[in-house]
Amino acid sequence: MNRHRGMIVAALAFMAMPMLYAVLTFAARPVSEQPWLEPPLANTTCVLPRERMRYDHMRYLKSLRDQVMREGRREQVTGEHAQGIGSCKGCHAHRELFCDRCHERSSVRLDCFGCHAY
Amino acid sequence: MHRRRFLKASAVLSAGAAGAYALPLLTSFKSSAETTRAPSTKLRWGMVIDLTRCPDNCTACVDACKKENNVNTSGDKLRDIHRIRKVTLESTLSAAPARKSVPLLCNHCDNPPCAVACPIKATTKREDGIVIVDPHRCMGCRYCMIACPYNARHFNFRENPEQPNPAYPKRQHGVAESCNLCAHLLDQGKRPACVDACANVNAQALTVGDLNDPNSEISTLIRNHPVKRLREDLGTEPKVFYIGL
Repeated sequence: MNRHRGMIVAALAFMAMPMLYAVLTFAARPVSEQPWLEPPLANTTCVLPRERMRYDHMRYLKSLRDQVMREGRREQVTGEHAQGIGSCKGCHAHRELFCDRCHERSSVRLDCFGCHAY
Repeated sequence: MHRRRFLKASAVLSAGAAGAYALPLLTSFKSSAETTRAPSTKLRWGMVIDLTRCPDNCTACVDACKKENNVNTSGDKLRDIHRIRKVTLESTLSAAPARKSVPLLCNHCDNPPCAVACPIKATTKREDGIVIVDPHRCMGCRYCMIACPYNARHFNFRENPEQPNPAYPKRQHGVAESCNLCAHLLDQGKRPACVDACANVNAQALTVGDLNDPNSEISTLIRNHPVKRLREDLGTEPKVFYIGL
């Protein structure tokens, strides 16, 4: 055992190198790669908490879409506190500075704005 | 002896299995027949078109529809979309020559052939009877256009470059489209664009309302006038009624 200690340590260190490299590059990635988003115009809360919206906005919009298209229920997309894709621009005025920032970075191609005005 | 017992047991088992599979089939047939016959007391949208009040050269409904729904029209007769259009009917009988200007639109059938033909259920009949295309889901196979006996369906051969009404989305290239009785307005308690325009030019030929409500304006019109529907022989049960056709 003692005979091989040096070799074992060297082998472990060699195997850990790629992981170390990944961790270091992740930690040292330039901050400018994080998309800058235009802050919302109104100082109010969104329809869902921020973290929920970050991960679930697409599912949330789809559920609203199905409510409207399939069931004809429009109570959530009309009125003063309207939600839905037509109402996002009430706070997030520019699509180029809000939706597109992340979608372009993560190579997500959207079909929304071919039809919906934003 | 052993073989005899084995055969007996397997016969009993297979008979039991067949019965277990057949039972839900038989019962489900019965229950589906019962549910389709149940009368609906819910809202059921329909339209009455009074041709005696519809002027020959008026296209207010067509223009209003195009503006409200961002309908793709550029003057190309082969590709233009008409959610509502006006045609002139001429009687070929020499005894009773007649010319009528008739608005044609989706009949919102109770048995919509387009919804049956749609392979992905993009076209559906809503609970209130409106036949609606979900452009998010439509893949542009155009089966509905073949199935519709009224030629009420159109295909977006290109995207509309204009969007006169930003509150309502346009359609992209590759989806089918038809009148949906301005469902977005009806759901908010407003009149469809064509009905509104018709009332604004004081023609009042178009009326939209609840067919299930015996006291609604549309039910009264149907009761008090001889009404016709288009191609009733097809069994599609259209919900657009014509007075004076």
